[in-house]
Amino acid sequence: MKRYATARIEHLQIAIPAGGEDAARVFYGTLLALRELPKPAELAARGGLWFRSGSIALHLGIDPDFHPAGKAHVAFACSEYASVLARLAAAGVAVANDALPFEGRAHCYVADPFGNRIELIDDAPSAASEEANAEPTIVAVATPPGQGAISVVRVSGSRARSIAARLTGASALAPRHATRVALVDEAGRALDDALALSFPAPHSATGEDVVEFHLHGAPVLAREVVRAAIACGARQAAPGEFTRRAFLAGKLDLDGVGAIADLIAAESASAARAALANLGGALRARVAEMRSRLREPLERLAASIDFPDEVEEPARAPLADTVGELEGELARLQRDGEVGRLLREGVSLAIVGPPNAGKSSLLNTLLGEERAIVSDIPGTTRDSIEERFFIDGVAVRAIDTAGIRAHADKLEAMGIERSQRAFESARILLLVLDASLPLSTQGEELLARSEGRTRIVFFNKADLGTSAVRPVSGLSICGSVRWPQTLRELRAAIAQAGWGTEHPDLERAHLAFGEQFDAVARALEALRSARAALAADEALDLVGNDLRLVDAALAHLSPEAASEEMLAGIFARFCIGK
Amino acid sequence: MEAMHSDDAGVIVVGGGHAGVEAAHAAAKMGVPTLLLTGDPSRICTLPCNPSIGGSAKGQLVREIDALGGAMGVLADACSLHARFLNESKGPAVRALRQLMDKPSYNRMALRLLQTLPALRIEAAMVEELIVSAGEVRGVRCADGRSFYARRVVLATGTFLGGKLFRGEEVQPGGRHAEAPAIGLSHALRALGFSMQRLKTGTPPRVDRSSVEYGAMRVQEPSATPLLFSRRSEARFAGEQLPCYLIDTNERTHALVRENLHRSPLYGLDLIRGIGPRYCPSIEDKVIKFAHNPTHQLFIEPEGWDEPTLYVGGFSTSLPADVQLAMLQTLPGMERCEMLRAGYAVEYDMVAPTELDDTLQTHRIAGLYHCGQLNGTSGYEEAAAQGLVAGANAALAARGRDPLRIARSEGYIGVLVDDLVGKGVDEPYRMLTSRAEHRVLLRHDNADRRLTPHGRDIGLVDDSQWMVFTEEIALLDRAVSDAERLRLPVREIGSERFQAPPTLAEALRRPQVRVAELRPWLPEELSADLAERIEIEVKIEGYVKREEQAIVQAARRERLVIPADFAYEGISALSSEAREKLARQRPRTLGAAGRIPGVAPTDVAILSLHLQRPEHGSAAVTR
Repeated sequence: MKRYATARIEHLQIAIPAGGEDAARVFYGTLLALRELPKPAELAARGGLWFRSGSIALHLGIDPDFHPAGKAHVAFACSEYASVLARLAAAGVAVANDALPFEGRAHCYVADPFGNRIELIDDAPSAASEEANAEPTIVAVATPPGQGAISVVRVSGSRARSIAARLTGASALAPRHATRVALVDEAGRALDDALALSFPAPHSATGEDVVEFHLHGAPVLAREVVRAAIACGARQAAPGEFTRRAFLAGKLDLDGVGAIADLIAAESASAARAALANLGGALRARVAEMRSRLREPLERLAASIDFPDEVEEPARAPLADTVGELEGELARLQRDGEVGRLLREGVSLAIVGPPNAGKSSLLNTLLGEERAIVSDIPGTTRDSIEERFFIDGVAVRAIDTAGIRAHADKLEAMGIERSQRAFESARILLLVLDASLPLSTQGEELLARSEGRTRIVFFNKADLGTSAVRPVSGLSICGSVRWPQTLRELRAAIAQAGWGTEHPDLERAHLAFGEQFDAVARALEALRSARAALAADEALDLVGNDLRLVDAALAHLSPEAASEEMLAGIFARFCIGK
Repeated sequence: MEAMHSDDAGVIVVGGGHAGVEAAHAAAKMGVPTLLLTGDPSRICTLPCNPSIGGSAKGQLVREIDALGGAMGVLADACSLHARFLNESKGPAVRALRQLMDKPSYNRMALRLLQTLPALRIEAAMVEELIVSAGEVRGVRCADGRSFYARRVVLATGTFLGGKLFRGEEVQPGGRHAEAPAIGLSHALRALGFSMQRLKTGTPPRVDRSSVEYGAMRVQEPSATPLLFSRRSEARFAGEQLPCYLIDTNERTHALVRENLHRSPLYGLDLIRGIGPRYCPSIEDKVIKFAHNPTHQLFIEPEGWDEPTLYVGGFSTSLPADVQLAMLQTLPGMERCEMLRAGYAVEYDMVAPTELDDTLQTHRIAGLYHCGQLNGTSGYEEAAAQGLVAGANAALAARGRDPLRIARSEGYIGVLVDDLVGKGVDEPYRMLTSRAEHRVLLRHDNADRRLTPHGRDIGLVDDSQWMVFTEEIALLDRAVSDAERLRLPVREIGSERFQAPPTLAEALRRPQVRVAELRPWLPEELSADLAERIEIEVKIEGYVKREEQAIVQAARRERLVIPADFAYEGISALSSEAREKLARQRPRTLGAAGRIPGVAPTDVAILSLHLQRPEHGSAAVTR
C-alpha cells in the first residue's frame, strides 16, 4: 500500500447561513439520511452541524457572510440512489438529472435549502459491469427426473438473488433458512406454494449466490419454474455445470474421495477422449468443412497484414459470399439441432377439454395402461399428470389436464392453475370434445383460445353421436378412443404436429449439448457482425476479427474442444462429489 | 569451491546487440549497478542485417518497449531516414510504423545513450564461462582470464554462440561479418545441462549505391511528415528522408540459382544443419520451393545517409560471391552494379527457451536470464523486447521486488515471452500479428495506455515520460468523452451522409469518416497523433469491449496459479507427454499450461481438478 504525504480527506465543510441549522437537519439528516453527531462542546457555541455516515464526515459551518456555492460542490455516492431521489422529490426538492452517466453511473444535481449545489451519484455497480465479470447465472432442476414428492430447482450465479426476488416477490430471503413463498412466474402468474432457500456467496455449493426452490412434485411445475428463471435472465445449466462450478470454486469436498479422484479422472479422461472421438463424426466433418472455407481468407488476411508489401489482402466480394453461405449453413445446423433437442427431450402434448370429454381415457389408451384416475364424476382428475409414450421412437410427454370448469371447488384450484399453464406452454394441444353432445360453452371457449396454436381437435365419442362435429381449422379427427383406427389417426396427427411429415432424422441433429448450441449461436452472431462490417466497408482486420471468433466458436464444436467443455463432459458423465 | 568475491555489479549483461543494450539500459536506468560485457564496445547495435526497425507487429513491439521506458524507440527516431505506416487501410489494430535507420548513427546513439547512465559500466570482454555455485549464478569468466561477479547475469549473445558463417564452399567461425564467435560459452552452457538447438539465418549482399540505376525501379516514397515511435522524441525528421525501391527477380536470376545449387552450402554442399525461418527464406529457397512464381519482389533500401551500401531485401543468400554478383547483375537497374559485401548464412547455437520461466530466468540456474536470439528469436525488435524484460527482471530481483510480467492481453511482449517459454521454437521466432489473439487491444496507438503504468511501477519510466503520459491520456480521455456529446451541424459535415446532426463520435464510427475531416470540431491543442488515437478509440470501441469480455471470461484460468512445487509425477491421469512437459517447463498458471504443445484440453481439465483439491490449498487465484 502506497503512503502519501497527504493521505485522505478527513472531513468536508459546507457553509450555511446563520440560523440555518433546522433546515439543514431536514435536508442532510432526513432526506440524505446522514447521521447527525453532537458537536464537541467547545465548538457547539459557534453553531453549525456535524454529520457522519460511513466514511463521510460533513461539517456545516455558519458563515455570517453567506453566499451559496453554485459551482463548487460535494458529490455523494448513494447506495440507495433511487430512494434518496424519491425522498427528495417527495419533499419538493428540484432534482436536475444529468442524462450523461458519470463513469457509467446515474447522477443528478440538487440544491440544499440555502442554494449550495450537491451532486448525487448512484453507487450501485451497473448491471453491465457486474455481468461482464461473472459467469452467466444458471438454473436447472436438481432432483432426478420423474415424479417425486418434491422437486428442487436450483439457481446459481450473480443474478440468483434478483431472480428469486422476482419469482417470490420477497425482497430478501434470510440466508440458509427455508422461507415459505408464493412462487410466481416472470409475468406474475401464480406457480406454486413453495419453499425458497438462499445461500449467499461464497457460502454455497458453487461458491456463487445460490437460491433453491422446493416445489410440489410435478415435473411440469419444475420446468415452469426453470422457464420463468430463464425469462428473468438465467441460462439453462449444462449437464454437470453446477458440479463444475463447485469444483472451480474449490467447494466440492473431495476429502475422502481424494484417493480415488485419480482413478475417476483417469476413467473420465479416457471416457471423455473416447466420447469425443465418437462425438458425431458427421458433425465434426461438417464443422471441419465450414472452418476450411474460412481458412484461406483468414490466412491470406494474416499474411497480408504481416507481409503487406508481398501479399494482397483477400477480396471482399467472395468473402461476403462465404460469410453468407456459412450463416445459412449454421442456421440450418441450429434448426436441425433444435429438432434434435425436441426429439431427445420429447414433444410436450397437453390434453385439454371440458370435463368428461374422455381425456384421461384417451391418455390411458395411448399409454396402453391404466394410469390416470378415471371415473364418470366430472373433475375427478385433480392434478396434471405427465406421462410418456412413444411415436416412431420419439417421446411424447403428454399432460392430462384437470377439467377446466367454470365452477371449480377450492381443492381443485391449484390443479386448474397448472392446467392453464400446461395449456399455454405445450407444443401441441390435443383438444378433446364430446361429439355426442352439443358443444358446451367451455368447449367453444377452448376452441377459440386454441386457435392459432399447433392443435389437434378430437371429436370423441362419435360412437354415441356426432351432433357437435363441425369444421375447424388445423388437424381434426372424429372418432372414438375405443376404435383402433381413431387411435392410429391420432398418433399420426401427433407426429405430424410434432415434427412434420418428414421422419425425424436423428442423424442430422448433431448438436447435443447446451454448449454446442451456445457455440453455434456465438458463431452466428460473429458472422452477422462480419456481414455488417463488410457491408459498412469496415477495415478488413476488423472483419477478420469477427471471422476469427467464428472460427474459434466452430473449433469449440470439433475435437480440439476447450478444456472447459471437457470438464463439463467429465462431470456430466461421472457423478463426483454427490 | 569458489573463493568469496565481492560483486562487481548487481547485474551483468553479456552481449551488446539490441537485447543486451536494452537489458543493460533497463537495469542501469532502474538504478542497479550494471556491467555490460561485449567483445567490442564500439560495435554496439550495428544492425548487422537489414536497416529496418518496426513493421507489422514489430512496430507494436517498439512502441511497447518505448512505453515501458526502453531505448529502442528513442534511438530509432533519432536515426530514421525513411518512415512509413503499414496496413493503413487494413484496420486500426494492425497499423504499424516502419523506419529505416542510418546505421552509423544508430550505433553511435546507442553507445551515447548508455554512457549517460551513471549506474552502467561497459567493458570489452569475451565471456567464456559462467561461475555457478549451488545452482545460483555468481558471475562470469572471460577469455582473457578476468572474472566478474554478480548474482544476476543476463545472457544476450545473439548469433555468436558457436556461430559459423557460410558462403559457397567457404565456412568460417564467426558471430557475424568480421567478428569472432563465442565457442567457449556455448560449451559451458551445454556442460551445465541446457538443452541446445541449432538455427540458421542469413543476410543478403550489399551493393554500391552509386552503381545502380534507380530509373528502372519502382519508387517507395517515405512519409512527408515525421513519423515516430517514441512519444519522447521531438516531432521532426532526424535528417534527409530517402526513398526505397522495389524490383523483381526474373528467369535469368532463377536460372543462375538453379545452375549453381551444387555450390550452395544449404543444398548441394549440404553443410548447414540449422533450421532457417520460413518467413524469411533465402533466394535459393524461394526459387526452389516456390518454383511456380515467375518473379520474386526485392526491396532496395539505403543503409545510411553517407553509407555507400544498399541493402537488397529479399535476396538473402549463401551462394558463392561470384554467383551473387552475377545474380545481382540480372536485376533491373543493377546491370552494372558493384557488390560491396556478399551475403552469407550464419548458423548458431540457441538454448531452448522452454528452459526459462515467464520472467526469462532459467529454471536450471537461479539469477541467470536469457534473451534475444539466444532464445531462438529473430529480429532486432524481438531481441530488444526480451532484453528489456530480462534486464528489468534481473534488476527487480536484485532489488528483491516482484518481477515484471506482461499478460498476452497487455502486449505483444507478453505474447512473445509466453510463446517462447511455453511452446519453445523450432525455427527462428518472428513476431506476427496473427500470434496475438487479442490484437484488437494490442495496437500501436495505445501501447502507452497498456504499459507505461507497468514501466512506472518498476522504475523504468522516468518523471518526464510519466508526466507526458498522464497529460496526454487526460487530454485524450476528455476529448473522447466530449466526442460523445458534441453534435456536428449536418450542413457542414455533408448532409447526404447524415440525416440528423451526429455527435462527433457517431460520425467517427462511420468507416469512411476519418478524423482529419473533423479537425475543426476538435480542440486545437490536440496533436495529429492524439487526433488519430481518438479516431481509433472511437471507431473500434465495440470490438474492444467484446475482446475485453472474452479476456475476463478467460481470466480465471490465467489467474489460477500452479504451486511451484506441484507434483505432476503423482497424477497418473495425465498423458505421459503432458506430465513430462509440465514437470520440465513448470508453467506458472493453468492458462500457460494449456498453451504448452502436447498438453491436451483433457490434461488441463485433470490438472484443474487436482489444483482444486484440498491438499493443494496453496493453489491461489491472483490478479
